[in-house]
Amino acid sequence: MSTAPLTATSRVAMPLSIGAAVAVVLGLYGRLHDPTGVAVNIAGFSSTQSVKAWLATLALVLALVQLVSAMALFGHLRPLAGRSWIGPLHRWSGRAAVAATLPVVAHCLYALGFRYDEPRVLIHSLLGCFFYGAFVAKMLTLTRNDVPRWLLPVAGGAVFAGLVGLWLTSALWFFTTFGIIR
Amino acid sequence: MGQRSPLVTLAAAAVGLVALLVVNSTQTTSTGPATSEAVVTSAPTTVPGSNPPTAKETGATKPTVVKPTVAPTQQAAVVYTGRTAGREATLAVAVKGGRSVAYVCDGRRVEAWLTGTRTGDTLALRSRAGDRLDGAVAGGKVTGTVTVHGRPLRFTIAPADPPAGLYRGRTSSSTIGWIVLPDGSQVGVDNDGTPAPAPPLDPQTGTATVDGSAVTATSVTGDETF
Repeated sequence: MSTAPLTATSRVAMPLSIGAAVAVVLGLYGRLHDPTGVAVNIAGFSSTQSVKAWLATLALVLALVQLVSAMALFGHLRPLAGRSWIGPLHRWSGRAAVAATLPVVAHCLYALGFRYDEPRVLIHSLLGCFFYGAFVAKMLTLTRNDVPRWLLPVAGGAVFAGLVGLWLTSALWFFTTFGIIR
Repeated sequence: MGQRSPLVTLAAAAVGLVALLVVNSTQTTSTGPATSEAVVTSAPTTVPGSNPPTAKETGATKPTVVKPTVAPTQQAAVVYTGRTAGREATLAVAVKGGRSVAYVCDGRRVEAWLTGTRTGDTLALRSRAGDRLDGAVAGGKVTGTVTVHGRPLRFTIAPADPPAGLYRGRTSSSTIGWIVLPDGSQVGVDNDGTPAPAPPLDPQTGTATVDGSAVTATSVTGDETF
């Protein structure tokens, strides 16, 4: 009697629960790993923080490409409807955006850890875990064709919202505090 | 959309993250404090083991065993205190390994906490508000310039032994910094959004009384993050 709704539920629950598990694992690693505070400096930039702020900004720009191309894929943008390059653009801008965030999160997790000593840092730490959890959930959602149609835009929207929040609590804070510097 | 390409993307992201974490961890081990600690712990165990046969020598070797264990820790954490050249503000710089924390305040309404790095003899620190300190360790002193609220102040400050040093305490609403100078005088600012003179700190117990309740101050060694 209830097998069909149950499997439908589990099809939704599987990517979401794995995503949630990833978020929790990242948070635990950030909390339990002893922060080293070591900075890998990159030539041409004044500090690790500025490198991270610019990488986050690059990811944000790519995320905006993601938002527009996703709307086009779902047919919400008339002029772009049916263009064959939208799909590859969406996939590769997404991969580039995630690749840009990886050096940032590696430094966050390894050198700084999960912190909650002030609201900005707490929100940033939570969003960081949430972002990668949502990213995993979205990737897993893509692997199946039998998930409800609403799940993909919800997961994608969560990833996008997470990244915007991360940028606001890190790069925007950096640029407004220290100025727009390299 | 492909069924497998998202999984490939996921795997690539995971591999990339792990690789970057490994790069970060190699950075940590090459900076030194960890290796010097390893030397310290191994030295006392090997030296006493080789000594007992000659009872006469144990008395002479004991001080040399103690010395290496004490010297690296003192090298690792040094606090310099003093005033700026024009006596505008009091300053403390704590250096530990490759990291450094500094505190500047006038004891009334100007203060700045700065964190940064020590590379060789060069100190480079910044505060969240954009204040900066650039200094050099030379001849056992730190000389440099600290820029607070856009105003550059020159300084030359000397090492201070406990109880002189830099202390930091926190209440639910404020952060308090104290600089205790070698002559026993102290300067501090209590900042709950509006900086104000800090209540007196008892350096022996590390406590102060704020609004009737006791606040415990911790000695800043130089590797803290704020």
